[in-house]
Amino acid sequence: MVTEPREEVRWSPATRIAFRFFFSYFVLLFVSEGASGLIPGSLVQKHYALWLPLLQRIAGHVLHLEEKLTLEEAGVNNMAFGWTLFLCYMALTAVATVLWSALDRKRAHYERLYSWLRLLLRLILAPILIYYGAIKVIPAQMISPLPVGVMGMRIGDLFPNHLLWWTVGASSPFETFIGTAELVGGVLLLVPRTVLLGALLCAGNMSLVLLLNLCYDVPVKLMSLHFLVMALILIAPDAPRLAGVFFFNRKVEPVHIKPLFARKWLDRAPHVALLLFGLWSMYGSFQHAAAMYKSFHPPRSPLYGFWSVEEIAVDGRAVPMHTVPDRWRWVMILKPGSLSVQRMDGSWTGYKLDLDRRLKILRLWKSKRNSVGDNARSIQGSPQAELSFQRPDPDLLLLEGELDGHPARARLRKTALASGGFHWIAEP
Amino acid sequence: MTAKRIAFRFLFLYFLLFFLTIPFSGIADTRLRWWLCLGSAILAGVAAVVSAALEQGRDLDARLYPWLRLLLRFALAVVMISSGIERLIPVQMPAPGPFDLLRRLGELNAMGLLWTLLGASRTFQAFTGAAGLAGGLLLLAPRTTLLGALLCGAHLLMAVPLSLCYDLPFKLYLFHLLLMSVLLIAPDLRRLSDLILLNRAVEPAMEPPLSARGRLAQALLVLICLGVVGWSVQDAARRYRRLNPPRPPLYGVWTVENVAGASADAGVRQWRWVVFETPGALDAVLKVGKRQRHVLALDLKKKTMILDHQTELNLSEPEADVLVLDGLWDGRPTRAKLRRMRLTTPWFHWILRPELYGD
Repeated sequence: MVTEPREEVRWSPATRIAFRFFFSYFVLLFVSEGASGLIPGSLVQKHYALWLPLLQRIAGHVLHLEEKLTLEEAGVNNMAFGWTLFLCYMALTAVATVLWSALDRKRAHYERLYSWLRLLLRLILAPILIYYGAIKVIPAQMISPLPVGVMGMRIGDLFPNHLLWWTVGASSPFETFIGTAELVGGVLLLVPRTVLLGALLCAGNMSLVLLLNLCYDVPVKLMSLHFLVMALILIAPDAPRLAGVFFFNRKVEPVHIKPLFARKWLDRAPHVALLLFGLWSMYGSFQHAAAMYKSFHPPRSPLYGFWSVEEIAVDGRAVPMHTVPDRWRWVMILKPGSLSVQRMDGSWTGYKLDLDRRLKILRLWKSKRNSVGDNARSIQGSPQAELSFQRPDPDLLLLEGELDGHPARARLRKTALASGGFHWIAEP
Repeated sequence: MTAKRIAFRFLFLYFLLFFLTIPFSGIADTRLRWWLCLGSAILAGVAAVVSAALEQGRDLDARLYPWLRLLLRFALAVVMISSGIERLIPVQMPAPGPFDLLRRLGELNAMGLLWTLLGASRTFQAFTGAAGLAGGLLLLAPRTTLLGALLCGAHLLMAVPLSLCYDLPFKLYLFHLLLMSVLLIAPDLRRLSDLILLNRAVEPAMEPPLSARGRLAQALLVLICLGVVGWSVQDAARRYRRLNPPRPPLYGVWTVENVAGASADAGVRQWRWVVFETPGALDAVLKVGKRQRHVLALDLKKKTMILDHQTELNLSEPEADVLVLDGLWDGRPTRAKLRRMRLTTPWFHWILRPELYGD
């Protein structure tokens, strides 16, 4: 690679050192993580296997971590392996920076090498943003609408990151919206002209994501920090222009990013290749998102929902809420053919459900544990319950019939999150 | 030209009316608020058309334009500053209390869920407040107005979809604030595209200078905003103290993991959760869902507690977030193991422990 030092350009020593550091680090990271799939996975695993004994020693004897390091969790991630590897990479990068700075003292700037670093950062960042955007645009990352099982969980029993997940999952339009922001940021990074806009969008997104990760203990803190730093490096040459406009109201000049090659067609080729690679990865991301979405949304029962048993009467007498331990409290209906009841004391009973939508009758057979897949046999014999059902509105389910041999009547209401709602007008 | 003039006068009158009517209706999307907005729009529209028809040729708009900007800047600034401080000192979304933690996710409505999430992390709430506050403060100086409007715009671009998706009852209000940010940014759109998209030279902004009266008004408005800062800080601090009274020891919800020894009909057998929220009281949530309050005399030095003046139990904490009570219950040696509910335990982990996220 030929660099032609222009007399007028001279980077400050701090800029040069910072550049050497970040260049070394991101090249190291890029290559060791498999160069966006260009290096076969088996080779990457072999590379990590070489690191493992050293990392285990450092984690055990220097960092005194309790966690065991294994190859299954290899990579720069938030596990013990990832943090230890990250520290080693930092140390390696520091050594490289010192050596490079000592050997290359006279260099005025690294403008052309910086252009290559930009290409590398875009190559790492764009497909990741596109992927995470796609799995939110098709609301698959945070399962939406929420699985009914999740709605039955108590707030206090949730991990903070799950609370965050399910809050986003509670609204699929919102998930799509934040996914769009990520996706657009990634796509803008693919085109040289829109890199700054994409990087600004990405920096905004990633600072929010990093904060969420830190505040709600989401285990991808280290990676979101990486993405934020990458975006900031892409913004860096424009920083004086941005400050000139936003803080000083000064006239600012265009910024000059050195071409990758002196010849125009040769300079354009890597950018075109990156664009094609990005579009191809977008296709793959959406395919993957669609498959994820499908696997998270198995067929549902027509009575799907987490139902609160508001009233229940047996033998004509109402059973009040907080007195009888085995009174029905919640009814959960997910996939066709089964129904679960949680009683006042918190215990669950599973039933096989036979739904006759024409006659509006449901029959329940108590299902024995470990008899999954044995539907045909368990539906024999007389049912524990045979109830007619009515839905005067979609959130209400009225049952009447026989339960465990006694005449019974119940009123069930779908819980708020499941029924949702949008109100233009808020009346107190 | 006439269309532009009508549009300008419409915006000026509409936003003036929008803010003048807020004291009467509040900011929520009530029927009254919708009618007031519709009324303001009709009134402003008629007035704009009539005045534009009557005053042809006079240079009113050029004189009014700085005042429209002043109105938009400071109305937005006051809102962003006061609501920013309300989150910076986290009182807008209070932290979920012990009994809130016992509710099921499905029992909350969408807004309740969002409020629980934001209430659960004071740090995050404070960050969103700081971002809003910074946007508002930048609007105070003409030079940083563009950056302030962009920051407010980004903030509201998040808030408006949140209000639509989580059914918050101030959709209309937030939408107007977003519109105001956009109107403040609009004159600089060309400079922004030269700066960010086209990589061209960008000239300094050429805002028409304020008249002497305009400068005086601006200085006054800055003073008012600083007053708003002072008042909001004081108000939020007062609310913060009220929302966060001193907590009794062992504060929070504890799940009863197991009970050994007690007779089958002993009260402790019916416990599902134990809540310490009010000083001098232990609230047991029974298996059937009922709450039962016991008088509590807690002695942390001696590590004992006396329930209802009769049952004396020893306390021990064999591991973090685990509490073991043991002593004589109805004359029989009893031991109950309680574990602090998950969301109330300190939760920051540098290192991902897979077993923590397993389920």
